[in-house]
Amino acid sequence: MIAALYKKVPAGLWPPLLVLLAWEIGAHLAAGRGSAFVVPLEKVAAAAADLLVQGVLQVDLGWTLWRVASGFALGACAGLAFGALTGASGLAERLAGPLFHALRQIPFTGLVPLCALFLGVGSSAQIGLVTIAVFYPVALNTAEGLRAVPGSYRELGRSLNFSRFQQWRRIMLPGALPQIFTGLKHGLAFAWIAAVAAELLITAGPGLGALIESGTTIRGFEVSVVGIAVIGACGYGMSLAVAGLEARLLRWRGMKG
Amino acid sequence: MQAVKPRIEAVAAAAPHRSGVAARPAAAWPRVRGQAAAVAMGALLPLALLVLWQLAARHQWVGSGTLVAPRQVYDTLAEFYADGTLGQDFRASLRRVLVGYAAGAALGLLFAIAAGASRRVAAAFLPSFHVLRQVPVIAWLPLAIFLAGFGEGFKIAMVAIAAFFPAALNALDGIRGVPPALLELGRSLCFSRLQALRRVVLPYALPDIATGLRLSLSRSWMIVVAAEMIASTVGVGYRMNWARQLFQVDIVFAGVLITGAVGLAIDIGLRLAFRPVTAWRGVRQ
Amino acid sequence: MNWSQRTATALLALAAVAGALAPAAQAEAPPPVIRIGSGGAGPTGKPASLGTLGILFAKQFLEEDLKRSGDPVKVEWSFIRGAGPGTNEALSSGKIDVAYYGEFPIIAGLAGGLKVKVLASGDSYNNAYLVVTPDSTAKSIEDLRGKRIGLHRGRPWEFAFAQLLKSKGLSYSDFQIFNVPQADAQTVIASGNIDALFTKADAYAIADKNLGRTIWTTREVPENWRYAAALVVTEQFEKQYPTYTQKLVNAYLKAAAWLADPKNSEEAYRIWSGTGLSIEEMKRENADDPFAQRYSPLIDDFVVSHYKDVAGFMREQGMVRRPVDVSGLFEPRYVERGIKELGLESLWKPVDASGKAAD
Repeated sequence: MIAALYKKVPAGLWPPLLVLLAWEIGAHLAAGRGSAFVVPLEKVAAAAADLLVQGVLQVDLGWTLWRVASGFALGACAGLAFGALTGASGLAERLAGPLFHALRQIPFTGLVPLCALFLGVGSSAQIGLVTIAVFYPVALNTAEGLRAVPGSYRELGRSLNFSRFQQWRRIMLPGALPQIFTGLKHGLAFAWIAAVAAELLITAGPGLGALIESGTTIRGFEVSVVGIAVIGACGYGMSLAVAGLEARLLRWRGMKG
Repeated sequence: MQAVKPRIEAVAAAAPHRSGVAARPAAAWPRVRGQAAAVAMGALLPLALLVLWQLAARHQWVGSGTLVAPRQVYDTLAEFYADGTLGQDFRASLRRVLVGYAAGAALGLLFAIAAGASRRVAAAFLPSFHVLRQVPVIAWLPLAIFLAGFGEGFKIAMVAIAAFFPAALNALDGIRGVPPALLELGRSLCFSRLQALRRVVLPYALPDIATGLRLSLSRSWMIVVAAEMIASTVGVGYRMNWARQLFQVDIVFAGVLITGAVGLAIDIGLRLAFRPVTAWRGVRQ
Repeated sequence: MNWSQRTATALLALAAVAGALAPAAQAEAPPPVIRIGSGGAGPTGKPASLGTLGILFAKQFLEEDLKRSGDPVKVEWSFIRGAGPGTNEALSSGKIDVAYYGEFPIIAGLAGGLKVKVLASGDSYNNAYLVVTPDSTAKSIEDLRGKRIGLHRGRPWEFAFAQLLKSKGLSYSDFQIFNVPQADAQTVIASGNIDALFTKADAYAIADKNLGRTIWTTREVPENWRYAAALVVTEQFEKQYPTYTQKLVNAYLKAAAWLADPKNSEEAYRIWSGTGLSIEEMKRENADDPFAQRYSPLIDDFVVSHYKDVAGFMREQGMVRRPVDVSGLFEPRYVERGIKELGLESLWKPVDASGKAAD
């Protein structure tokens, strides 16, 4: 019977199940010694239920998603514009490129103190951080994508006497689209990371990062675990959605992009 | 790899110029002049921004008096360099990054090889891998601090985790992308598993592995700064956060410059190291 | 008269008329909103604050005053989790106009280029505590040499900590100082990640929960090590809206006067307990000093010399990187005028630099 059960469970579930089991056992073993840092799973579940009922979880999730969305929108627009400029114009690339690559190296966690000092302690600083984090991958991939449009394609457009606008719309953008999309994907991943980091390092207002931190200060570690789990679930959901979108949009290329 | 090299050079020489225009004959003097011009152009914007920054600080356009002038940031850096704090912080941060990065990237590679080689391993561990990957490492920090303590071990472990995922992911992509035809070739030549790995899979996947290693390094650096901000007594991130608490904007700027400079140095170094590999990528496609 | 004399006369007449009309024009346009910030939201998430500002917030004296005078001005309260350091950030980025926080971060902000004025004094004589883990054998700061100490950098009690080290001939490098946010203090010491903690009155809660033991407090030393808070306004707001700055100070004085009345102390504790401190803790913390003295809003010699001491010390320790002149920081005329307007002269006596109250 156990063998039958073993066959039914997909292989991918075993490692997490085993880990959770070890966690549960460890939590109960450690509980006696007063170190409440590994919390039993039932506590985590109870905390999750509590937070849902109180509406706290939804509020925090909403705020974080809002920051991710705003930062992503701002950063992606800026990145697309900048990438288009430097991808299309060699002059722009030579002027702005070195500075761009130099500034890109600063890990955005290093920019946290600066953002906090000049943008204040509220959501604006956090959204600013997310914007910066999203800007770079989008700009980089957009520029590279545009530059990689094969010369033969561009020649074709020129020989068909395409106007500037037509050249862009029919040759350059579609040609660069897979790479631009890759940039947007990375940008979204970075937006997520940056939003959580910003919430942890610039503490202001509700949010999933703030939820995790409140777990370590007053609410209890089970709340932190809930926060982490929600972040993971959201991230996973988002990446699935993006993968689905990518498959639909880039179907015509016949490759995974 | 030996057999591959001449091929790379031949292909690179024959590669068409990017814009589709035939390559102009290269003459020595115009090329030097061209490079000097490129450097000059690249420096134009940063210099303009520097001037703007100086003016903004002098006339307090931003931040109601708290923006520091570039000159002061330079003085601060010089001061910290002179009294050894800069070196101390820098070495502490660097050590954490290097150790954690080496550990995490190596583990990531091993994991990718294992998952690529064995379908059972892949089926068992990949789903969890993809889910765990979604949680930004930084979200683990508050919990990890209390579980693992404020010591070096904790910070190095966090860096390792941050380095693990990009390395593993990109290596996996590369390894899985090996065309079945090449694998068939290996099988027909009676390659053992290990030989196939060494002679076919890894060389083919090298560009992706290289990308993953570069991404891992930048993530490592990012996490080290964040971890130091939260629990440390020395390090670049620690210094920046301390300055933030004490409202010492010049130190914060200095820290930003340092992290940027180090990041740049690392990136350039890795690019140069992996340059033959990226040329190989062009051949592969 | 020739035409130049006529022009001069005309101009003079014009100037006279303008001068007569000027007082009427001087009534400034009201600010759309007065944004006040201070540290700490409570654990329940409901906003609450300590000190005189906490009372001002809870009792809504400013809002009432504004409503009574028919001013269309809104009052916006922000509770900043980073407390002192965070308040500096909020002020420098223009997010708040008025703040209430400790002298140590105020001076740090001043040194960093922040342009603010201290309008009134807030809660003073706040104690700091050195707490060790329950199983520690340390009896004094010297025993903790080389050990890990948690301290929230930039908070007001860092002054006491630095003074303590200096008085024993020690320096920061003799210890491993971890920058532990005060909100995390209990968890951190419970987790065994540090050997000692230097913090404020939450030391009582830590002791009560058997998470730590206090081995030194500022009670054992001269008053000047104890930290104080102050009501601060941005120079820009004060210049632009002096009338409303006065209204703010008047409301603040009402709160301070309310506190000076012993009948209100129970309610005061209840209001402050919204920040998460227990009433027991606060009673113990407040035990030594009568409310009237502790919450005196006067900017007297004691306050000024205390700030001078703190600034000098911070400069010496390298905590501020530019010399700071605190004499330009204070703007006592609002408090003086407000006390006259509200008739509160008898409530508070100025204290001289040595700590003695005038009589």
